[in-house]
Amino acid sequence: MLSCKQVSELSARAKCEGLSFSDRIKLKYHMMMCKGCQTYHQQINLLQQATAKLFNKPTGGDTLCKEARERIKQNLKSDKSKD
Amino acid sequence: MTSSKTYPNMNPSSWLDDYGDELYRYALARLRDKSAAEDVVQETLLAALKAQENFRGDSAVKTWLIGIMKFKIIDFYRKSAREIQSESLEHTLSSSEDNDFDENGRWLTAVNSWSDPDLALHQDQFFAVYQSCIDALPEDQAKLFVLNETSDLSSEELCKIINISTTNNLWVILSRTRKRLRDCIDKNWFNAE
Repeated sequence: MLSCKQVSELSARAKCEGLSFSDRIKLKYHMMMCKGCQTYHQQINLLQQATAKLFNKPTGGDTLCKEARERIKQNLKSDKSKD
Repeated sequence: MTSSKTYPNMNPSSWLDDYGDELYRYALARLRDKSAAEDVVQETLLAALKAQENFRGDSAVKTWLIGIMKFKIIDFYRKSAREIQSESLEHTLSSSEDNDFDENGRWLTAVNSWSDPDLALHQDQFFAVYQSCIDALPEDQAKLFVLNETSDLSSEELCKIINISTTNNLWVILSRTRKRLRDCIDKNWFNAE
C-alpha cells in the first residue's frame, strides 16, 4: 500500500497529467483506508477552488501607476506609427 | 467575414483606459512583480493591436485580451527562467528534513478537520487570508505554485521553465507547497485561535 507521502505526491502529479490505471487504483485504495488523507485531500480540493477563484478575478485595488500608463500609451503610439 | 468588419467594442485606442487596470491586476497576481506586470500589459496591448483583424467578435474584447495575456505571461516566465533560483528549490529537497511525514511516510501530525469549508469560498476575508498565505511562501515556490495552478502547461514544460531537473522533484515540491498553504489556512482561518 502507498504511504501518505506517496499519495500526496501522486495527487500533485494527477493534477498535472493523467495517472496510469494502476496508480489510480492504488490512490483510491489508500483513500478508502486512510481518514487523514481523505480529509487532507478534501481540503486541498477546496484550496484549488479557492485558487481558481482568486486568480480569475483578482480583487486587490492595484492599478497601473500614472507613469506606467503614460509609458505604455507612448509605446503603443510609436509602435502604431511604425506601420 | 471580412477584415474590414468592425465591432462595436473595437476601439483600440481606448483599450488601455478601459481594460488596463484589470489586465494589470491579472498579470500582477500571476507574476508577483509590478514592473513585470506593467511590461506584460504593454506586450499584450501591442500584440492585440497587431492582431485586431483576427478578433472574431465571438468573445468580449476583455476576454480576448486576457487570452493574449495568458500567452504573454508564459513567455515572460520562459524568458526569465534563468532568474528563478530553482537550484534553491531543488536544494531544499535533499537538505531539509521532511516536516510533514515520518520515515514511513505517515503524517507526522494528524490532519485537523475544517468546519463548513464551502462557506469560506463566499467570504472575502477568507480570500485575503489565503492571498497572504500565498505571499508568505518563498518567492520561487509561490511562482511555481501560481504558474502551475493558472496555466495548462505540461509538467515537462513547467520543469523546463522553472529549471527543475525531474518531474519527480516537481511533484515533491508541489505537494510540499500545497501542504504549506493548507497548514497556513488551517492556522489562520479554520482553526484560528
